[in-house]
Formats: sequence, structure tokens, C-alpha cells
Amino acid sequence: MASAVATDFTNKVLFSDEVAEFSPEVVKEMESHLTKYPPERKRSALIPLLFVIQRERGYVDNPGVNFLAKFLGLEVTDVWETATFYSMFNLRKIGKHHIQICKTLSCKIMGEPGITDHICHKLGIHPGETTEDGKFTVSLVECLGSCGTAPMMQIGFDYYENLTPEKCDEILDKLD
Amino acid sequence: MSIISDVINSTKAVIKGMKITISKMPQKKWTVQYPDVPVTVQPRYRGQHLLHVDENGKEKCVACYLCAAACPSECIYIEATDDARPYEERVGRDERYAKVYNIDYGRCIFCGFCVEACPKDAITHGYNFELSVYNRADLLKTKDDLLITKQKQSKNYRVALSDEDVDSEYKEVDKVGIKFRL
Amino acid sequence: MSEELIKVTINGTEYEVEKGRRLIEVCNENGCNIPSFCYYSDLQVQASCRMCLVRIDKMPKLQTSCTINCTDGMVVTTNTEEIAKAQRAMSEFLLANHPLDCPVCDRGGECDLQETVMSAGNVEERFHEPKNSFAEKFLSPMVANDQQRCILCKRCTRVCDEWMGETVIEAGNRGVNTVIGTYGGWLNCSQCGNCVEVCPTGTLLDAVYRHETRPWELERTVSTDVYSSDGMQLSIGSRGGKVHRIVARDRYVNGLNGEFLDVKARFGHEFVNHPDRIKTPLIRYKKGGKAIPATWDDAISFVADKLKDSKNVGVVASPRLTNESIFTLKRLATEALNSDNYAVSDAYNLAPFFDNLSAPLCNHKEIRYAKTILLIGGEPEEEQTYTAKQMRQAVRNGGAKLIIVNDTPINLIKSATQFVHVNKGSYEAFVLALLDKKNDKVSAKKLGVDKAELEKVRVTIAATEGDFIIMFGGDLSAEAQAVLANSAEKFASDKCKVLYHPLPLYNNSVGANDVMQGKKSLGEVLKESKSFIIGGSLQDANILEEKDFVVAFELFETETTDKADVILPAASFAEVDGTYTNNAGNVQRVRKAIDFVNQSKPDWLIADAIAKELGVDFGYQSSASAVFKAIADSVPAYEGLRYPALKNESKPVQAKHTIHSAKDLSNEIKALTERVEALAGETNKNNETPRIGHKLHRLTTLTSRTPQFHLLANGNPKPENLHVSPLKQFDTDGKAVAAS
Repeated sequence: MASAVATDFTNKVLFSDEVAEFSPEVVKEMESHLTKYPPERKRSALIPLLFVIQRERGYVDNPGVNFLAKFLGLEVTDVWETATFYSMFNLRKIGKHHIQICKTLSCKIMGEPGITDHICHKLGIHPGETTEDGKFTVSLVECLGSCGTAPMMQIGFDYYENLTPEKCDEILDKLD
Repeated sequence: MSIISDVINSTKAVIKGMKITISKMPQKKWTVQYPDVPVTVQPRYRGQHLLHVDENGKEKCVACYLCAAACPSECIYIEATDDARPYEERVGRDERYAKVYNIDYGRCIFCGFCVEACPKDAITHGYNFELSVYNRADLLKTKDDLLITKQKQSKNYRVALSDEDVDSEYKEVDKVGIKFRL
Repeated sequence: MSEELIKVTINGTEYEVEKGRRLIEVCNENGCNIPSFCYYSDLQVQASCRMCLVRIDKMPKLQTSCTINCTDGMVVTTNTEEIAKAQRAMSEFLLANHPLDCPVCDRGGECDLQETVMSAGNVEERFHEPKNSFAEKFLSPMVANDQQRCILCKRCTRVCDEWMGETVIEAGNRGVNTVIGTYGGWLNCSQCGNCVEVCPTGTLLDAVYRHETRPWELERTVSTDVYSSDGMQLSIGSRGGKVHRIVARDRYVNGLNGEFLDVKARFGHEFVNHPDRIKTPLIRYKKGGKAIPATWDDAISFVADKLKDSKNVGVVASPRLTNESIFTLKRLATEALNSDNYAVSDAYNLAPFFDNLSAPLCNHKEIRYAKTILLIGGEPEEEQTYTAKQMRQAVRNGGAKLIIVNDTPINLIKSATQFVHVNKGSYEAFVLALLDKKNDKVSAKKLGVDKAELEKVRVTIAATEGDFIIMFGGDLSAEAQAVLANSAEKFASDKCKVLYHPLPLYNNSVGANDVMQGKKSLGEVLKESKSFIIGGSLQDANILEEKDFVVAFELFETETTDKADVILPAASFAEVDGTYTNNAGNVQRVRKAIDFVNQSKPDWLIADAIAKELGVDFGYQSSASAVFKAIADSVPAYEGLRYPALKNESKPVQAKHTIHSAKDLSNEIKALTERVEALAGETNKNNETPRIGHKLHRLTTLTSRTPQFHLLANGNPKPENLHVSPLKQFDTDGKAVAAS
């Protein structure tokens, strides 16, 4: 099953006691997220903060999880459970451009398998993998809500719609 | 009763008896010169058990105790043990194997329930039937006696071929008029 | 639970039940068995297995009966074809990813999933997609894990969180990839093994018993835990004279602890059949010489010969022994040896507490539903684990107030509503402050806390509506115990009932105190006597060096047996009949599970044999029940008790300890005040929270015989390869060894 990144829950490579450190500005930003929730419900800020960690460190890594557990007064397992549940959190290092191809029904009918094959062939990787130069990561995701313009994909935070193999070539060539 | 009628009657009886004897003489014999000639056993004969191994020589038995549970005469004793090594180094095919596997042939009734119960096809009945021993304790057969790689097959049997009628012996007996009740 | 009765119709029959009860429980009690995997009465509702579906009139769809509370006039159907079909479909889904490797699985034969599926019958598998497949692995030296067998009932995660307060097992990933696991793939917890116990499939397994035998081959004996003073009921699984495992699974045993056991009770049983057990009686003919094997007859007559003429023989009993053994040792001292030098080798003497007890002892169920709990000293999560679990649930589910007074921030303070962090050795000052408000100023100074904190404690206690439980650990002096035990009247009111719960260290500390009446302190006995009979071992055996003659009853060679002249092999708890009294005063049976290992004998039988050789017959006729009858005849708290009365482990019998009215304890209070005033009052609090399991995982004579405990005691290192037993990857010092 090709998920975005292999979210290996118990991989020992991902585990260490190291606690990440962040600059005062980032910590300040994290604290500003806390103010949105009642003080006794700090746990609610977990998902926004995981996004901050992902932005700052590239992916949700082990020291980041350790930091967050301390920051919110939770058990590391609680943070880890949440991070592995959502496919939007990457638990492995990903490429510069994260290509997320929608694999749900509408796109599938409109020719997603061909698009995926084309892109993967062009980049020389399988879904869920990163190119050797660290530029591209391809992953198959669930519906991105743009069924009217299927097939589509998302690179970074941008949508690319009504794809054809030629259009894909064009898009990928433009990215550096 | 005169002596003459006695003689005639007994001569008649002798002739009657000898008639059967002589009529049998030219027929094919169905007794076997055991042990000089091997006994024919049927393919589904239930002899001494065999513990099987897979194609790489790993024991198939995982010591699940189902044979012991199914056994009506409680003659199977197993001790399981853990073997968490990789497949190549293991004794058995799985992570679990029987450290001890004993069958007490003093109690076994050769019912075949153990074979039916085995989920791994690890135990079957073999054809070895010569189980008599001089010492009763020798009736307890251990894994070394039962493993297919170690059990010595007797030379004194042959398995009936597929084109042989499985009931040939009985049929032959039937021909000469002795009915077997089932 | 409200007392109001309502009417519920189940399958056409009307039942009267208490309002608000769970439908699944009501159905099961009334013979309409509803299959379920995730429902567990002592845990919060999960409703993830969807097996307990029932039809309730006026509700649109089938409902999960584990989430429904009974209401008046409810009409329930549980046995229609529709429900059977739904349940069959659910088991098909559960089996979609469940491997059918029951012959290898250790749970086969007592697996909830296996039983439900087989009893439903007619299950067809229509999923032909490949199943999830992972290699078997170890989560810790004690727990093995087979991820693909998991049906995601999440009992383990709930148990870990709610019972143990540890949250180390969680479900990771999502959808079809969800697995039960731990952060980092290794369990660093107290290793209680309760996740193994509640697992309805073979996902989490006992790694100590791994692949040893099968459940139906085991002979099951209900007995009592030999380690902690909670007296947890357990089932010993033995086969052919060997103890294979210990469980508390509710199909085998239904004691006060439910399915709860801790790491020692569950895994620390390897000592019973250990090859290092003393095999025969040993006699050391010359001091410092070699102990030479002897026959029982020789050894007993040798002991009797030596003791015949000695005066003032000291008899010391271990608080681990059964009541029967301790009582017989006492009789051996008083009747056969004419000596009043007998003691229990327990540093924590509860005699002053029981002599002044002014309110009943509380049982564990009362802790669970208490309103305020005051814990002075002690570390129940390490020593009395079941008490700690009940305290956690009282706070979590019952909203109880938990006040912890301790010199160390113990792990239990996570559940506490108030933590009074005091100086080392200043618990007496707290007792004094509790006793009288006017002592606050002195006490606060010596305790190193603010006066307001003591006031807060007092306010919480005064506001209690319900049970108020006073617990105390082993650090209180005799005077403090006496004063505390006698102060129930001060706190009791119409709304508040005071109960006591001592936290002794050994399984039979309370029983030893009960049956060995008139005992002296251990120090006194050791000083005064020249010859000794010791049942068990002493903490510090050096004093025995200069003694004339020492007889020790032991399982293993210890420092005490090294200095003993005659060593007699005693039988372990799995080989004897007897009783233990737990910290709630419950007298519970210990039952013989296996034959005596080697030539061992129960301690009381050895003492009886020595007495017989000395010419005194106790009239026991080798029967443990006769000894217990003798106890019942001579100990007032046990009056009228007999073995048949203790037969049912689900209804534990409480010993009737005398409740004294308030006494004049001015002498004790004076002594206490003096002692508190003499305290230095310097600030020397422990600020570091101890590691979870620092006492549980300690190696002792008994636990060290389970090899896995060596790894736990050495910090539970994570091995390189999780698929191979950690025992093969580490030596006994916790150092990694090269893979062979």
C-alpha cells in the first residue's frame, strides 16, 4: 500500500531521547497557539504545533516529538499516536517538492493510474519514495476535493488540475 | 450299530474332509511366508506413527497439543519449547516445536484421531507394524523413533499398489466361501 | 449507582435491574450471552469491536449494548437472525486480517476471538486479499507481540492508561495499517503485564511462558500472591510438577484483584522449579565447614539433640511464610523449647497499629470508591501495586481527593490532588500536625512545608463526604503508628467514615502480626539468644556468626544459610496449603499446586517434626487445616474461621481485628512531640522522581531466579534485534553479548 511516507510506528531509527531546540520566535509562536485553547486543555494545541514542528524541522522527527511532549505535558506516546494517525504529517525526510497525487474515485476514473505511472517513470521512483537528489517525493493521497477537475495533484500547497502526461512533464520541468 | 457301518461312515467323513483339502491344493495360496516374504499392507494402513519434516528437513510439528487432546487413550505426551531463531537455524518449521514427543504404544489404539486433528499434517500413520518388544518400557517411543528421518522402515511390508484392489486379500478369501462379517 | 429499580424486557422476559446499568452486563447476567471483545467492565467504554449488537425497540439501527445504559421500559432482543448475521459479518471483518495460526499461538485454547468465532460457527471467509503480516517480536523481556493478530479492541491501551497510569502502549497509524505499539518499539514501564492479561487475542503474550505448553494442558490452582501485601488472587498453571505460568484471567480466578497482577506476581514464579533449590537437608558438622547432605530423620534428630538442652532458643519467622507456619514456629518456641524469644523478621512492626486500631481496615473495593485518601509515606505503586491501581481509579473515575505526604515525588503524585513534599524522616511531624492544629507551627518547620499546606489537608479531610482512608507506609515509628491508629474519632463525622489501610512490605506481614502474639522485636531476639531456628532468611545475617547453633528453613542458599548449621529445604508457596492475611485483613487461601520439589517440606511440618522429636505433639496430624483450626482457636481475630469458609476467593473473609475506643495516649504523644522537636528540620527533600519499577524490578532471592528480572534490574536495555528473545542478546548484567 503506497501511503505518502512509510509511517513506521516502531522503527528504532526514529527513536532517541534527544529533545529538539527551537529559536525564541518559534517558541513564542507555539505559545500563541496555546492561547487559543483553555489553559487546562493544552492538549488541543497538539495538531497546530505538530504543523509548526513539521515546518521547522522538515518532518515530524523524534526530537520534535520529545519536545512537544514536554511542551504540552503529555506522554510521548500521545504525541506519536496523533502524528502517525494523520497522513499530513511526514515522519520521514521528504523531498523539496512533495507531489501528492489524488487516488480517489473521480481521479481514478479520469486516468490517475496513467498519470502516476508517467510521473513515477519520469522520476524513476515508486509512490512513497524520494528521488536520490532529494528533490521530489511522490505520494498517493485520498481525495483533495477537486473532483470537478480530475485528475489532479498537489505539489507543495498548489493544485495542478486536469492533468495529462504532457502537462505533467511541463509542470515538473518548471520545478527546480 | 455294526462295525461295518461305523467304518463306512468314518471313511465317508474322511473322504469329505480330504475333498476340501485336495480341492484347495491347486489354488493360489494367500498365506505369506513372513518374514521371508513381505506382507502387503493397504495404503491407508495405520501402523506406527511418523513425524514429518518439510522440504528443508525442518520438523513440521509445532507442538500445538491437538493430537494429545484428541487422543482417546491419552498416549501422547508433548513438551513444547520456543525457538526464536531464523528459519535456517531452527529445528522446526515454526517458532515453536516439540522438545519432547512421546507416544506410548502400550496404550495407543491406532484410531487415527491424532492424524485427523493435526493442523500441520505433521503426524501420520506409517506402515511399520512390528511393535513387539521384550521390555514393556520400550513401547514408549520418543521423537527419535518417530521422526521420518530417523525411523527405520521395516523390510517386511510392501504397500499395495494402486492398481491392486485394496481389498484383494479379502476378496480372495471370499471366493473360497469364507464370509467376513463387517 | 442509583438504587432505583426499573423494568427491562430482554427477549420477552421482564427483568428488574438497577437504573443506569450497562445493558451488556444485564444481558450476560440473565443468560443472554452477548459476545464482545472491547468491552471491559473496569475500563472506559470503547465500542470498537461492534460484536455486542442488539436490537432495541424504537431505535433505528442495531445498537452496541456496551454503550447503552438501561432505561425504564426498554425492550431488547438479542437472539434474532438479524443479529446473528450482523455478528457473523463482524467476525468475518475481524478475521480479514487475523492470521489463522492458532496452533502456534500461545493464546489458542483460551482466546476470546477463537471461542466466539467457533461458537458462532458457519463463518465463511470472503476476503481473499493478502493479510497483514509482521514478524513476531518482543516488546520487552516480559511481553511478546504479534501485531497481525490484533483486532484493535484497545483494551491494552486503556489498561495501561487507566489502571497503571503509564500510557506506554498506544495504537499507531490509521485505517487498515493501525497497529498496537510503543514509542520507539520498546516497553519502558513497570512491566505489569496487565495488557497481556486483558488481550482477547494472542497479540500480546507472556514472554516468560512463551511456547511452553497449552492452556488446556495446565492444571489450575487458585492461590495468593507471594510478593505484595495486597493478597492478589491468582491462578497457578502447572503441568507435571512444574509451575508454567501465573495468570489472573477471570475465567480461572475471581479474586479481589480482578485480572490485575503486577510484574512480580505474574512473572516472578520461576523460582519454584529452579535447579538451585536446596535439594536435601544439609548439616554443617563443623562451624565454617561444608554443609553435608543428610536424610530428614537424621537432620531432625540432630537439631533436636542440639536444642534439647539449650535455653532461650530464638525462633524467627519470615513474614513471607503462611499463617500456619508462623503459628507453628511460635508454638515450637513456647511449647517445645520453653522460650519466649520469638519474632518476625520484618523491620516494619505493625503491632502498635493493631493494638490501638480505632476504625476498621478497609478493603480494596472501598479504596476504589473512597472520597478522600491520605497517604503518609510509602510507595504503593512499587510495593502495593493493587492498592495503587485502586487509588488511581478512585481519583480518575470516582473523583476522590488524594493527598500524598512523602519525601520523594513518587510516580503516584501524577494522580494526587495535593502533594505535601516533606523532609526526609519527618513523617512523625506530619502525624503530630494532623493530630492537633496547635502543633502546626513546629511541624511545618520540621516538615519544611508551608503552614497553609497543612491547613489545606485539614480542610480537604473535613469536607469529605464518604469514606476517608488513611494509608501509611513503613517509615512511621511505633508511637506515630499508635497515635494515628487511635485518631479515627477526630476525623469521623456523620458524613465521613474513617478507614485504615496499612502498607506493609510482605505478603503476610499482617498475618504474622496476628498469629505471632506476644512476639518480641527482632533485634531483641537476635541479641538474647544463642541458638536459633529461622524460618526464611534475615536481612542482615552477620550477627549469626557468633551464635552457637542456627537452623534455617530456606528455599535457596542465602547469607543466612551460609552461616546456618542445619539447613532444611522448605517448600515454596506453590507447594503448600495455608493462608495469608493481606493488608486489608483478608484471610486468603494458598493452595498446593504441585508436589514438593526435591525433598522440601512446608515450614510448619518441619517445625512440627522438630517438636515431635523434642517430645511435644501439637496434634496436627500433618494437616494444614488442623493448624488453621488451632490458629482460629487461639487468635481472637480469626475466631470461627475454617478452610471451608475461605473456599470462595471471590468473597474474601476479613479477620475481625479488635476495634479499640479512643485511648489515653498522652505518653506516646509526649514521646512523639519530643522526637519531632529533636528533628534537625534541615531541608533534605528528594527532588528526583524515582524510575518506574525501581523497587518492583529489584533482584531478590526469589525474583532473581526469573532471568528476565536481571534485564529489568539493569535498566531494561533495548536489544539490537527485536525478533529474538532479549535473554539471548544480553548477559545477566544487561550487557549486550555478540550474537552467536
